[in-house]
Amino acid sequence: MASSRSLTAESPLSGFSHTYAHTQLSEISNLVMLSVAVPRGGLEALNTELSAHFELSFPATGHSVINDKSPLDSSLSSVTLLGLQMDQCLLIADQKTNDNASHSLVAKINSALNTVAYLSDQSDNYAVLDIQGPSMVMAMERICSLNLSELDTNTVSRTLVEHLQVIVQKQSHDQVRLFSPRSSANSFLHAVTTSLENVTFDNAVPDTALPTNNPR
Amino acid sequence: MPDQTNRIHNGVLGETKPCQFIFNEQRFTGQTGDTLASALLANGQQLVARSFKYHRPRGIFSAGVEEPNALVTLRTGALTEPNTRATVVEMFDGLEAKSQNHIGPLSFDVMAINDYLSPFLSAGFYYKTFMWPKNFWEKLYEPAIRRAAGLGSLSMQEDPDTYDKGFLHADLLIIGTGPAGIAAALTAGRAGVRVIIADEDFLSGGRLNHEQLHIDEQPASEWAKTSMQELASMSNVRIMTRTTVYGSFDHGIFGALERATEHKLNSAGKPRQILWRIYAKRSLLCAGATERSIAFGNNDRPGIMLAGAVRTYLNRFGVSAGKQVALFTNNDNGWQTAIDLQKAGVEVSAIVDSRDIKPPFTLSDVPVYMNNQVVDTSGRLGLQSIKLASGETIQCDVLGVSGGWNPNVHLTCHQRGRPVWNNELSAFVPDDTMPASMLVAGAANGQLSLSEALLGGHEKALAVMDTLGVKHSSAPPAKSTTEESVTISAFWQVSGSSARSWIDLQNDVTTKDIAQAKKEGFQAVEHAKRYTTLGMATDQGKTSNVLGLAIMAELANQSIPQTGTTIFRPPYTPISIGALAGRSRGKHFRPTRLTPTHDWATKHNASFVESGMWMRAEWFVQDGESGWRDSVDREVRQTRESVGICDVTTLGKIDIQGRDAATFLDKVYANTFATLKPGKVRYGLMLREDGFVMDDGTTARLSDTHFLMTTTTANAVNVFRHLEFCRQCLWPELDVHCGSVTEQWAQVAIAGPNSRGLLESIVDKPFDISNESFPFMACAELTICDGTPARLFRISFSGELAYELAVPSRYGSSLMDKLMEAGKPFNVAPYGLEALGVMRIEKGHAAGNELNGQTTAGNIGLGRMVSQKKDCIGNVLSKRPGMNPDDSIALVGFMPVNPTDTFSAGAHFIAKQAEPTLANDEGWMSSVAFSPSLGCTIGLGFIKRGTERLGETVIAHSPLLKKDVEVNIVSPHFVDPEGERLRG
Repeated sequence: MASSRSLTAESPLSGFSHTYAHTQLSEISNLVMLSVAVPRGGLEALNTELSAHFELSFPATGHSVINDKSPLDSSLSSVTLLGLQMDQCLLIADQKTNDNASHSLVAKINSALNTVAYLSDQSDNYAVLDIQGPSMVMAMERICSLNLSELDTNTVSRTLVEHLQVIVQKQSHDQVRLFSPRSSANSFLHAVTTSLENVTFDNAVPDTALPTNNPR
Repeated sequence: MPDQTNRIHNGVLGETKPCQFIFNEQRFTGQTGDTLASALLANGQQLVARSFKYHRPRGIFSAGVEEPNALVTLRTGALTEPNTRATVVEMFDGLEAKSQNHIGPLSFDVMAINDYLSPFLSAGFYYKTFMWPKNFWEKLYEPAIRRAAGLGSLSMQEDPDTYDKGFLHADLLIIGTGPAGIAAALTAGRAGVRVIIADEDFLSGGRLNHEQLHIDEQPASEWAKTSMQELASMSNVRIMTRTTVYGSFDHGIFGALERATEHKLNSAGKPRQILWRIYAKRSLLCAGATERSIAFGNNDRPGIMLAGAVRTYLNRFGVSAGKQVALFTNNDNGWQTAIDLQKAGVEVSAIVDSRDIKPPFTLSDVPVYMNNQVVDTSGRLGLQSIKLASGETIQCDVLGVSGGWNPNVHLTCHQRGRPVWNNELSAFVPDDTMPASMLVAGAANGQLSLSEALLGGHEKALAVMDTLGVKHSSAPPAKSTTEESVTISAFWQVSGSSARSWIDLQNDVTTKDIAQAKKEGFQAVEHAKRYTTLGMATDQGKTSNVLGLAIMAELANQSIPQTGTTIFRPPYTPISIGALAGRSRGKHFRPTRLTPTHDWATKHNASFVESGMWMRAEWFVQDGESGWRDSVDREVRQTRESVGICDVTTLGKIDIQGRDAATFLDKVYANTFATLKPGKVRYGLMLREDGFVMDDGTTARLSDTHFLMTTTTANAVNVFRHLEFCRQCLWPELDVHCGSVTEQWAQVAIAGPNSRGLLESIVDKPFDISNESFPFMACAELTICDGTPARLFRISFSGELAYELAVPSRYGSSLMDKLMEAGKPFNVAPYGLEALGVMRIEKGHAAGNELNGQTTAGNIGLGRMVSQKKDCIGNVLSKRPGMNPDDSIALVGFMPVNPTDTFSAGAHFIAKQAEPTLANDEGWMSSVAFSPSLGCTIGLGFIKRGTERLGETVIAHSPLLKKDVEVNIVSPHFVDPEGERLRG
């Protein structure tokens, strides 16, 4: 239970959520994220522990693997590994509730893997947005050079969106999850909301729904 | 005047609605499906513009993007857009347009006097006239010429429309929806190929809508319509109308501009234009061909048009360009205009054919003049008659001219391809030098007949599918059921004309200008182009280039291939700057990075400054403070006297882990890190390969295999990139991994004699931050505020007892609240970038001004840090003799001799009594601040043999500020030189 001394957490986009003509854009702020780097010669040992704790194996670059059967901890709805490069992936633990004090979970994952991998907490490194709906591909066409409509589900790619680094994870034919550095979260949100506004015929986001320091 | 007197029928427009529009403040009626040009012609409005140089009356010349004359200013107010071709403006209700380039009414332009001055305004006149007196050029001649030059005017208001960009992918990009393009799209689309088919027009079909042709026994325009409907039903085909593919770039990338809302009265908040980048595995250029004119006397009058355009206005828009139409042609295709006009009941007053052959067609009641030419015309504000070489004068209000057809090869040339001359067609066609993976079909490939175009499009689509490995059926393509003849005899200019003959209508270039250029030695086609400005207007010479080349060739008595061509460059048609900018406007020009405490700082009256993409608090304003110095001086004093807190999140933070992490750091840093114990921090100096300083920072060792490196804010990305290059390419055998955690941690500096006292109240027990347990340059992972994970580093940039505390970024603002609360008994002050800068200058710490990429470790007093016991990047080249001269510059401090004097960074040091010359330049001032601690201006700078010259007086010379100040050379460590405060 939080004490009076405890620090209060804020998500990068203050829980932004809006629907654009049946396409939903939402901030996702209940993720625990750690980068997992493979020690030289240590892939087999890492895979053993990944399998034991998460029933997953280290993903190939450009692919993601997911276990949505509450692995490791009952507070988790899923664990995903995003294959970002040959020797590094991003482990994403999706918490069932939005528990901002997620350090105990970080510690749990650390103790599961720290003898076989180099781990670094990245839970606060990113602002995360989900776009789901019929206008997702059209909106992403305006800002992302990836051929999203042709990418397979569970593909992951690092790319640039409006001068921002973004990790794109395709979750289904009409759903994509985007990760972008936290410090430019407002610019990132602006890029995505502008795209959705430009391709749909819905009301623009009312100012009250935007984070207070949104440049717009 | 009754509406639309020249509208004969609805053309291919089908059901239309009337549209009211205004041209030059006069109301007219057009209809949906019109262009502004067709609507003006429907209303009998021939005069639409004045020419660029001579201000001659001009009318609509063509029916497409090649239009050189009918440039209008569209819309009003902030939406004003000059230089818009009336021939491509899609009609809408409420459209407003006005003509350009005249003073006074269009029918009486004062500047038409230029036409009488034409002998003085020929090609290159500005190199010959306006030369005397010399000083008049800048004051009088140039401003006058600039005022007179140009077409149209900007509104000078901010463009209220928005623009967007986008990225598309296709197996096959088809450029053009004429017969070849549609045939190709049907073939490929039916086979499942992912196709994008784009056309600059708003009505698909190309010339199928302009001619009375038949495909598979139905009107060609109907075939186009149903074919496009079939394509629209295919999920693998994307149709983009109103979209110009303007450029062909490397790797199969094309630029395309979609005019998304220009056919509407207002954009309703949607982007007006979208600039697309299309990635195509293959491309098929089906851009058709553009008709060219013939040069003859006074061939620029309103009413003189391309013959094909007259046909287009008739067949597509149902508009007769005039009541009495004559034709002048050198090819069979020009006759088609006469045939179509006669069918529609329009009087054809004559056909003049330059060829010495029998008439190719029989037309009753139409005078035919074979082997004849038009030598002159009359009718200043509108054509009234033409005069033939044989002496006849023929009454007409429209003259359709057909000099042949130029395949639109432009996109094949954008990567320096050169088309080849085809004698049979008298035109340039694409050759093998076109971009890789591009094919061409239809008229763009010199296949000028409908049957050739249909077959060509189909066959090229099959060829593409073969290269893609796509199976296809053997279904035959659609067939033309109309006979067409495209026979031509080259004929470029009427030599019997004494009057001026125009080649480039938009830039007012005549045959005389071409002859003059040759006479003056500008014989190469590139020179002639630039000297005469032929083809340099916004139409890029679409109707004039080939005509000009042919005339150059005739004058030089050589062939057209020998004369050569200039190079077509993108864009194919003009692109607005707004479209190129896209969303990069105003606040959103580039992304903004905010620190985790930004909200908190805003609430506490921070003034922000841009620091790269970051917004950083530069100072915090308190009540009663009237200027920035009040705030900054107070922050420095409060920090040095008690405690201050400052967000330093922006400095790069790189997580480095691995068994070989220490070894790796020893290679990238000049000094040693392998000996650093866990729980300790060390200052690190990083050199470039060439031995100059690249960056500095501190690196903490959290465990045997875990380090955390910090970098300067400006170099965070550069250093990370450098480390990854080293890791992946230089030493791939090492077990080391890097990850950026700049964003992960909110980091706050807590500095001042009471910093420990403040921290003790938030650091969780049992962690001990006493001086004994946590000395200078210690680090630890701990918790604060009842369990929040944190990292604490005892490091100091200010020179005071100081720490940097890092928490996960989500707690950034909350941490500031807690620190302020805990700091209340100590009169804690938040401080910003300015106070941070003042304190580091007082302490003598080098920063970006000193580490400017041109200084060495020795220059900044850290030469001994470059370890001689190990190798590192930059070690070898840092030892070059040139890097280490005897009188090398050294970083020292400077104080004014007169304490009230001030000086600025950028001043150069000159010995007293020496002349301020380059030879006497001894160094420069790199950083300056007012020091609240010393009560005067102080500086850091580089001066030759600086450390040997402490106490000496030199001049700080600022030629730009016209200021010379006497300064003493002192130690750079103005405050706490022994470091007692740091270690207390």
